[in-house]
Amino acid sequence: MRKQWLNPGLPVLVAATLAASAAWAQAVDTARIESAGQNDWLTYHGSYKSYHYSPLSQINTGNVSNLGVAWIHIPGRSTRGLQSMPLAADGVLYYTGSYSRTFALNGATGEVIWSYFPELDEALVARQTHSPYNRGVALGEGKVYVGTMDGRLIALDMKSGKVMWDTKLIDSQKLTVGFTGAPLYAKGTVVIGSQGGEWPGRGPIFGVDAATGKKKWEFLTVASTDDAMKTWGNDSWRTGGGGGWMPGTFDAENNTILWGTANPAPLYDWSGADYKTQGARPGDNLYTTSVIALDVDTGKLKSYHQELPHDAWDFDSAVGEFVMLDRDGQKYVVHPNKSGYIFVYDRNLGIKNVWRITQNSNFVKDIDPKTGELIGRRDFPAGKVSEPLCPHISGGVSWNSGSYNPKTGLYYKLGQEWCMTLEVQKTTPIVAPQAQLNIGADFKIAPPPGGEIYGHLDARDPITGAKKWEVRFPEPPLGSVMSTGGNLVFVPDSRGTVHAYDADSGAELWSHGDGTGHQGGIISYAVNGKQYIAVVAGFGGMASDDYAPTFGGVYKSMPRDDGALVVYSLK
Amino acid sequence: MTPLPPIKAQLMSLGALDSREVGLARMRLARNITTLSTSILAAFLTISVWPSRAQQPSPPAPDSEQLDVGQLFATTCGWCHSAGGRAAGKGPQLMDTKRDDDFLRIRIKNGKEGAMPAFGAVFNDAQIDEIIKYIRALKPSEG
Repeated sequence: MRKQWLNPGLPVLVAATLAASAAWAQAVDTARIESAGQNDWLTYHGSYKSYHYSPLSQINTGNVSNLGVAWIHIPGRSTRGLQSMPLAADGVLYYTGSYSRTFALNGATGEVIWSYFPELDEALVARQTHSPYNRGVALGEGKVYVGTMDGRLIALDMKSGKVMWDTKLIDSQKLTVGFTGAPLYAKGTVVIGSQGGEWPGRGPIFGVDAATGKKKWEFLTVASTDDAMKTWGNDSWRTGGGGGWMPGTFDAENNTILWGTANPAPLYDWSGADYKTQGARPGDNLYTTSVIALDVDTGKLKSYHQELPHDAWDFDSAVGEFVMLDRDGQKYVVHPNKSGYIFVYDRNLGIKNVWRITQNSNFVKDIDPKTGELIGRRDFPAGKVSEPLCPHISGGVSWNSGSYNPKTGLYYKLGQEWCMTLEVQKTTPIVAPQAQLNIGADFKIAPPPGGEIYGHLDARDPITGAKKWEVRFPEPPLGSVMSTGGNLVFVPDSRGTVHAYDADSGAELWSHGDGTGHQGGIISYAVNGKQYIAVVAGFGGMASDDYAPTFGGVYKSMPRDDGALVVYSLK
Repeated sequence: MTPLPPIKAQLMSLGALDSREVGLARMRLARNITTLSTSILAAFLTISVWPSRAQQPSPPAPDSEQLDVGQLFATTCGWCHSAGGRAAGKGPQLMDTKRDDDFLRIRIKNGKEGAMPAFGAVFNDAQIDEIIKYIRALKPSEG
């Protein structure tokens, strides 16, 4: 049933244009992000609660069949597709494409208000492996913040796109790595984490003064404390890794930034079972593959939990989702680890539960839901690994986000079922960042034992993991999930179709082709009382590059240098 | 302290005693200055141990450095060229490639936008020849 929400005509267009003009924009500050007004999407995870949920209900189970394309925007030069999470404030949509191309668009019409293409060190970008995609901006204090592949954080005037400050935070020429993740704005500070993982370095996370661009603090995810230094035997902290390349969130009650950190290098260690004393990096390797709580003003470490001590599988904690829940008087934080295990914490990062979203998992036998301890871990010596390792290096979950819907109480999250054959190599320590990565094994994607690769959208209780329903996909979807107050769950899949499901039952109610695969964000916002859904389409990058050789089909011709922002509304 | 060529620093052969001793001395030195701020430490390590690109615009001289291409695949190339180059992954299978040496050399040097990094600043011609030799010698792995 089609419902008319607005009287069409010129007055509406004028009003929409005015509302979308930045002149009407109110200040985006911490309190406004905290309260998460329904018309906006002010921070990467929707709000500091990280729900990836829009309360808007104009588009709902009853009328979603009337959803159609309102407008599209082509950012150009979409090398490795589009991977960013758009934001929306006061009717203006902000988003980035590859090479940190940044746009402010009229949310109702798609008209470009301003654009900003930073001048990058192209020779450096050509040397980088995990590049040149960008995963989005942060908003706050009248500015738009964006990171670059050559190690800078830039603030743009929200109204004009003019550069307000441009701060070099890391020497990317030397370290190779830069910033691909979106920053997080909270309480006058812009937080951004560098890439790390596969490179020698100490994976810094920075706090920058939002007003001036001056660096306030820097937290090293590799061996930043005396205690942590002791967990890197044989000076292996110099081989490093870590980093925090996805935005976490802000816990206002505790004045704390919650962030996930990446893996140590080399990814695969040849230590065998004696990883505390043997191999490439003897010890637990703090604070890699951990969730950390940092004071937002000082960057001081307040608490942490290392999800996988001595991560020997590249199943890091870099996922930026920290789903903040209140249930029965208890405050919880839910954080998915790349392995497919979902960790449930209290607000001090004490373990409350651990559950698993994947079917195929054998890097450990289990993780103790009471203590978080790894049970029956597989630490490989050098040589061929007999039984395939599950999940595949692309993870049991993507770095993209799931969605929690406070109306249904369900957490909608994608799981990935795939494995890999592996031959671990004893390699010489890499302490100078020149030849790029530090993997430590030859490997190849493989189907799960006795089955096929697939992906699934699960609707689960976020704390217990109890499953209500599941929808399967022939290839794992890699994009983010969004749920809405209209009782809908949206999934942009890898083949290029956006699906809308009934949030209670998982019944598919609508789908539409975007012309290419998805691996980025999806949001909803409203302009002058009209609800829009914006999704980025554009394939290519570390996980999706495996799709053409593995699945063939539509992926064989799918571009890996193209993309579009597609915005839907009711027809 | 004489700067080492980057390859030598990265792929320092365990058998090369002189290199190892230099490396250990540097590690000891590094440990002694951990009380300095990390930025100073990083700057110190850069200047004293590894030449920046500005200091060394041309690729390292081959001298007696033997590039262990098998290790190079296990650390870097194999991320995309699966199973040590024997199978297609994110990048194409290299074993039995029909491409000629010039094509491989240029691709390794310049990369391909959005698909492969440029390694021209990392490897000299002799080392790239070693990589090509490795690719030509690839055989299916046993078992």
